[in-house]
Amino acid sequence: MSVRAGGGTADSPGMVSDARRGRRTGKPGNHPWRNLLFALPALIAVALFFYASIAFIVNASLADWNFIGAPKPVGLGNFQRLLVDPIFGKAVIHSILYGGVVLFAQAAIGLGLAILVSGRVKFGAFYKTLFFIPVIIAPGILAYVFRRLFDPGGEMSQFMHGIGLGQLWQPWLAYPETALWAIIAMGIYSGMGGAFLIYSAALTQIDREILEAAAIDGASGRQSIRYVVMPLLKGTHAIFAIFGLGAAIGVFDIIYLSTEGGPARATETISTYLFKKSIVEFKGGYASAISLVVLVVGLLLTFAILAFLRERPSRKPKEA
Amino acid sequence: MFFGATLRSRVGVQILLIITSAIILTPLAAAVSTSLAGDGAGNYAQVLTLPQFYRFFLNSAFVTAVTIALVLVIDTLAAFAFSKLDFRGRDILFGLILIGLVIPGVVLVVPIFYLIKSLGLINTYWAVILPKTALLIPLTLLIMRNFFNGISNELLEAGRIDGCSSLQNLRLVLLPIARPALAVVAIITFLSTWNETFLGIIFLQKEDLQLITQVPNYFLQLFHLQIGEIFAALLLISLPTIIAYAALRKVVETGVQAGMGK
Repeated sequence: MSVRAGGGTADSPGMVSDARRGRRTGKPGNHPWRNLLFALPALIAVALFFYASIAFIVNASLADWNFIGAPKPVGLGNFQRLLVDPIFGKAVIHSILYGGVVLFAQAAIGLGLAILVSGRVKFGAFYKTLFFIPVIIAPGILAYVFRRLFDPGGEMSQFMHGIGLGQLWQPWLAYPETALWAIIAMGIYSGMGGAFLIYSAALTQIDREILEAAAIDGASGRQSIRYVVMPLLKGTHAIFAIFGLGAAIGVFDIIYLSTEGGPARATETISTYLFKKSIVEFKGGYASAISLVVLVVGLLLTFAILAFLRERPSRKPKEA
Repeated sequence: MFFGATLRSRVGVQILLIITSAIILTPLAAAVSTSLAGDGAGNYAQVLTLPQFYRFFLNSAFVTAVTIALVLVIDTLAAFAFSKLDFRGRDILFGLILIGLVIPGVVLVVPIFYLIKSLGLINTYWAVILPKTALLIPLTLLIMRNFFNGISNELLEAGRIDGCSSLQNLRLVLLPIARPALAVVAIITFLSTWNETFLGIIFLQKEDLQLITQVPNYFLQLFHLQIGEIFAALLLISLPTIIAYAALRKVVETGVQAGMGK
């Protein structure tokens, strides 16, 4: 309608016909290649840093290569070594444990907090700001803070001794048996604000009328959450799982800057091992093989999450 | 929204929120108290007299500013193309960019290291700026394109009829409306770049060039500073992001909704 009105005021008939054509093609003059130019910088950046990189990894994973000399082809040798590399095996198990526990805890805490502050809550703005602060502090800095927190001579330790609970406060990061769990606690702490933000956003998008209808039908707050909200959040769980998966695989700063993967490799994960093999030891081929395996498994998991979503579509109305 | 207005439920909610707040605040409080160890506020004064501290600060500010500018320009142009223009393969190309969302940057470390090394960019700001910009594009472009999708095409038609070219339409019609999306993308890019550690560790070995997230290590190794001074530095580093976020929280929340939604 506005097109027609605008057309009436245009000076030249040529523009009107441009606009008419534009309606069909999305653009006047129909210059498909010129339109592509707008997207070109983004496409080049992504092509170079993602797709060329992946091709590079595939290629390098089949060679013995130290970043400087010529790559020496070794076929699948890197992958065969990877299969029997006990440290890589450890790193994978640690990454799975870290990812699983951290993601589940973050989602549960984030959703719980989002529900708590979803209504009109006193000091709501304060809580919302505070919950996100750990996310905006650099993980590299949090690593130092936690190192100090777990330090036997640190304030936290003194405080716990002061109130007679010193036995509970140990240098958890220093013991091989507990270091990974201390790292997991750091991971939950640093990322739960992100889950809180995502679930808060999802809750504000739920139609108020549905909740009011549930309340009129006599549902308690708890029942509304269980039977109305949870089924509507399936898509949000998937978004969080997909982003969280990437974050869990990529976690580096908080580990490397607090334990460097130790003690005794107890906190070695895929990312710290990859960093050591590539940047420290210059084993370009072997590191590429690790990258490729992680990339493929990560993509498969992502597609599995998406397929799971599609198979069980979110809530259908119960009555016809 | 889910809990009644009775005193009991309101008190229950507050108790849970206060416990969570206490858990979140404990490490931060420990950091503040550590930063005052020894000389008290003098630790902050000590850090602020170190010329290196400003050097690191300016390095991070420069890298962050350039990255934000690049991301905004690239995203705006591309979001316009993917949302409002037609060209062959548009949806497939956008899908290919979105796959980047689920590729963790760390698995790209070998090729990125080789690329930056081959271009002779090690120990330059570009070693951080270029990979950072590229890795942020999938997420920020998705947010921006979702926002552009919400802007009526009729506005552009009107612009066209008034004789705007595509570029003029983008500049004069879309950009003024898209300011909230630009703000969200700028904030995400700011937080991500200001807090970047990995790329700094890999590419910036020269002290003059290092990022603010590399400060603790540098101070630990070279100045034998006391723990109090180091923590004073850590808190000073974190201040800009905390202030930025507290001031702009609403914008970020709107942006997350826009990025997830519709």
